[in-house]
Amino acid sequence: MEILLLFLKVILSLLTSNWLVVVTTLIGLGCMILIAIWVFHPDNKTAYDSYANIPLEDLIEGESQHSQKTKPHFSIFL
Amino acid sequence: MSSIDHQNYNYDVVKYFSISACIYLVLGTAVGVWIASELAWPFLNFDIPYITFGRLRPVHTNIVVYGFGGSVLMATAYYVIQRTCGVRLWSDAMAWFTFWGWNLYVIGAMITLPLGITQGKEYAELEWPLDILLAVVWITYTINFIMTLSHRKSSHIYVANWFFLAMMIMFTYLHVINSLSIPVSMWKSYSIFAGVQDAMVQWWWGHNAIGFYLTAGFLGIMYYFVPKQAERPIYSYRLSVIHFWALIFGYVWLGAHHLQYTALPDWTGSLGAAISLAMIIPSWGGALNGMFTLSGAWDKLRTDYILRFLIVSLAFYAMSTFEGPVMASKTVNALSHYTDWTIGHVHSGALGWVAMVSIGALYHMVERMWNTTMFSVRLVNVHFWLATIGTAIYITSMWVAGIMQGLMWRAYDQYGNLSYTFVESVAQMHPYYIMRAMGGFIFFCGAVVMLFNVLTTIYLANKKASEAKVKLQLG
Repeated sequence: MEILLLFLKVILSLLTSNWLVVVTTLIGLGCMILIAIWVFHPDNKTAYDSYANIPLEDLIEGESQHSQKTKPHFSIFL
Repeated sequence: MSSIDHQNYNYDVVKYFSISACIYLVLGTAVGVWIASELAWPFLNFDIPYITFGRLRPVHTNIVVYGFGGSVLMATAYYVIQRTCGVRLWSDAMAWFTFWGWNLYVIGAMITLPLGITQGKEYAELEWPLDILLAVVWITYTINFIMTLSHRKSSHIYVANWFFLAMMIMFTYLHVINSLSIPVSMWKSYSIFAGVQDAMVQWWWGHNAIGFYLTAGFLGIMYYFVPKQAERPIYSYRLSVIHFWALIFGYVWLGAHHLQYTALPDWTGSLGAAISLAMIIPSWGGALNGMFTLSGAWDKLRTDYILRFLIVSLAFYAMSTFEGPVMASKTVNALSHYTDWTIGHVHSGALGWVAMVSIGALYHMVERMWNTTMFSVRLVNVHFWLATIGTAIYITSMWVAGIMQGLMWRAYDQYGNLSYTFVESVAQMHPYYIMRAMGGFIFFCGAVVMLFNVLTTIYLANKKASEAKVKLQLG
């Protein structure tokens, strides 16, 4: 917790070093908050979850999803 | 989208870019090992000006950044856009123009830089004719990508394409502004910026080239190839959207952290440091999003060596995006700047993150495009360990060397005199420079193994395909 507070203090002191930085940061954060509200709105959950499947659904006919076949084996590394 | 005809996609240009990427990886790392050896054993330049460190270093960076990195970005963007949008590339002619133009640019770098033809701007050394060529090729690539996107069959634009597009737009902007210069002859020009403005523009370009070209572009690769190889959707698609916008808002501010304690106004350095620290949050969010994609399926890493490359690259991404902000803060920067720690940091990102995610994507694409499996899966595993061990040796040697340099340069005795001369710090670097060359050599060996494995796979796949064709014709 202490390190988090220290981190916030450092960020705040640096971000308030110039008025231009303060204004631009506020605009940036404002836009980020708007995007986050939109993206994480419960009504949009289903749509965003379906978008995640786009790469998995792009299979071409006759193409297997995972062609690399290796035998499971013991490895000292993994 | 499963009904899409395989033949509808232009894989030929992707294949050519993939092969050229493998070749440039070998060439670029070979030059890197050579110049690392020159630093350990300076006689290796043999008093030949064309192969001195100062001339070969930009050859190395240009081959790996533009030759290897650029080829990978073009191959993957062309591959991903077609598959996720369900349409063929908008223009084959433009795609082929980007292939030949890009290679011409890299070959131009390999010829002009050893001859000493340079603007002296880091990662933008090439003279104005080649700068114009780069801009034309890149804009062609961007137009082709945007037009393909506009003809897509799906309503949504998959997040990987957002990252690719951001990279394309920002790189055009950065390259054009940073390269503004007045030519005085065919191979000599002077930047229109001077003094501290020149330094600021240089590092506005320099760090954003890393942020958009070497990060956003490769995150595009990550967001397609990690879910694909893991056979699972990305852990949180919504987090990927936040990751994208946070990166776009934040990254453009970072450049000034390269110029701490210089003639730049103090607040610009503070801004660069502050945003760098804040950028840990989206960077780690993105890295964890990629890693958590394997939640419940970590066992895949036992057998899927391509996935190992992709996931380990994310570990290096997380590590270097933590290390970077730490180095950007003024206190640490006072110690780390101008030392080999920076070189270690750059290579943890370049070898660990950019190269590994690219290698994973290249292996994945080779199997799909030639409709085969790798000639030797065991060799993929050998490559993985060579790349990982080589990277680890490289970066640890540079961390130790860099911190030692920083401490030696700032040490002073009770009378206020410097404790060490500069040359004493150089002498102390010798064992670490040897270690670095060894790490680089191990990584290079992995690249050679990859090139052999990929070329053999392609040869066997083509042979099999032509035999099948003959059989079909014979009836």
